[in-house]
Amino acid sequence: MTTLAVRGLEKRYGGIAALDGCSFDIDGPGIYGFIGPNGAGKTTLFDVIAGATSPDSGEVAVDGRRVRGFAPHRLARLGIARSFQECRVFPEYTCLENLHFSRLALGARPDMQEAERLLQLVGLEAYASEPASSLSFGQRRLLEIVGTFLQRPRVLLLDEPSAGVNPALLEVLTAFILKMYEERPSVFLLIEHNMEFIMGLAAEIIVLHQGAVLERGNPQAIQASPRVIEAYLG
Amino acid sequence: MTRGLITAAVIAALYLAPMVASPYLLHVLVLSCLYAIPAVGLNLMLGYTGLVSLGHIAFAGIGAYTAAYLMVDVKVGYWAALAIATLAAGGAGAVIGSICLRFRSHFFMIVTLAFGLMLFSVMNNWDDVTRGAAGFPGIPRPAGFAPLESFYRLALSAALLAFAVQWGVVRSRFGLILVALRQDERLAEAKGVNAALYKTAVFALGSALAGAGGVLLVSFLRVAAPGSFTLAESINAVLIVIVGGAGSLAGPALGALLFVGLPEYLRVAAEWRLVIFGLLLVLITLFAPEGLAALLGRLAKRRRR
Repeated sequence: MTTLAVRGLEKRYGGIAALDGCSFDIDGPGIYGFIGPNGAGKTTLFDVIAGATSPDSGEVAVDGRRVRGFAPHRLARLGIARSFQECRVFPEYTCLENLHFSRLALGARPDMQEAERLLQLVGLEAYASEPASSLSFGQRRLLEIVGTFLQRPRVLLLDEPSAGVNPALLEVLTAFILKMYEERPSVFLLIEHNMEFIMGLAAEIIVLHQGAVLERGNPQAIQASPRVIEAYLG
Repeated sequence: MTRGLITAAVIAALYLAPMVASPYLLHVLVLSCLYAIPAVGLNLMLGYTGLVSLGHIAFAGIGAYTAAYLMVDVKVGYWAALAIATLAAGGAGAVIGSICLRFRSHFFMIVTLAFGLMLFSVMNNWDDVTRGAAGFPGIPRPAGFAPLESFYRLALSAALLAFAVQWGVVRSRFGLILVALRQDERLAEAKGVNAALYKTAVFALGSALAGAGGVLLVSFLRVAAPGSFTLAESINAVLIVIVGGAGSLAGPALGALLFVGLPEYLRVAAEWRLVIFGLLLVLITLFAPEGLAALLGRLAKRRRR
C-alpha cells in the first residue's frame, strides 16, 4: 500500500499559490529529498502533511487513510513526526527531558536507554542533563532530529536539517540519519538546499517548482535534467 | 532533604501559630491562606502553562455565590455546598475557558478580562439571586470552625491541600505537558499533544481552585459581596503569582503573604502605605523579576557557599 499519497494540493496565500496541484506517491521506505528554488512550496507541503496548515483543496492519505484537516497532534499519533525549519526544542527542558517528551506526548513510556544511546550517537551525551537552551544552534538541531526518531515515525519530515549546522556536525548528522534508516527503515522526507548533503543521502529526489512536482528521479538523473537546471537558473 | 525539613517545620509552625499569635495576626494569616488558594489555581495557568487570565477571581465569585445560594436559600449542608460550588466554578472554567482559549497571548488576556467583568456584572445586578451590590449576607462557617482559631486551621489546611494538588499536578505527565505548552505550543502539538484539551483542562482546574477559595473567603467574611470579585482583585491575583514567583511551587504562598500581610501592617503609615507598597513592588520587579521564590532560592544557595 502507498504509505503517503498526496493528491492535487492547492494552497493560496492572497494572490500567491504556494501549492498548485502538487501530487505524488511515496510507496515504501526510503530517504526522499525535496529540493526546489525558494518559494517552490516545500515547507507549505510539509506543513500540510503534518497538519499545521490546511490546504484549499486536495487530499493527503497516510497508509490509505485520508487525513486532510487532521490536527497536528492526531497526525503525530498516526506516526507522522517532523522537525521545523526554524528548529524547535523545549529550551527549559534538558536534552533527556526533551527526548522523553517525544515518547510521553504520544502516551508512550519514556525509553531511557534508547534516548541515551541516540544522544551518544550524535555526540550530545555530555549535555544530557543540560537545558536545551545551553546548546549551540547546530546541537539544538541535532537534538530536535533525535527527538523525531524517538517518536518511531512511519513518516518522518525533516525541514532543512542541514541549515545552520557546521560541516563537522553535518557529518555526524548524515551518519546518524543513515544509521536510523538502517535500523528502522521507514519513509524519510527531507527538504534541503544543501545539494551535496542531500544527493549523498537520498535515494530519490523530488523537485518542486511553483507549487507542483517538476521532476522526480535518482540524484544523477535529477542533476542532469534540463528542466531542473532551467528552473534553478531561470 | 533540607527543603523537605524546612517545609515541614514551616507547616508545623503555622499550625501552632494560634498559641502565640494575636487575633489580628491570625485574621491576616487567614486572609493570606484564602488568597493563596485562587493564586495556586492561577499559578498552574499562568506560571506553568503561560495563560495570563485577567478574570481569574470572577471564578472565585462563581464558587462563592453558588455556595451562598445553596447554603442559605436551598439549605444544603456546608461541605456538600463547598464541593458543588467548586465543581460549578470548574465547569464554568471549562466552558468559558474553551471560548477564551480560541484566542492567544494578549487577545486571550482581553477576553478573560471581558468575561471577568461580565461575571462581576451578573453578581452585582442579579438582585433576586445574588442580592446585588449590597452583598449576600448570612453565609455560615462550617460547624466546629466558627471561632477564629479553628477557622484559621481550616483555611491553612485548605491552602495546604491546594499546594498539594499543585505539587501533584506539576510532577505528573499532565504537568510536564503544561510546561511544554508554555515553552513551545507548536512543538508540543507536533509531538502529539492536544493543546486545546490540555489548556481547557488547566483552565477548569484553576477555576475550580479559585471557586473553592471563594467559598472559604465568603464563609470567613460571612457575606458574599461583588466587591470581593472585581477586576482589581483579578489583577491582584496576577500580581500575587508574578511577585511570588510564577511557575514555582511556593510562589503563591509568598505572594499572598506579601499582598495581604504587608498592606495590613503598613496601615500604621496611613496614607503612605500604598506608596510604600508600590515602591516595594517596583523594587521586586527590578531586582527579583522571577519572583520572591527565586530570590529566596538564590539567597539560600549563596548562604550554603
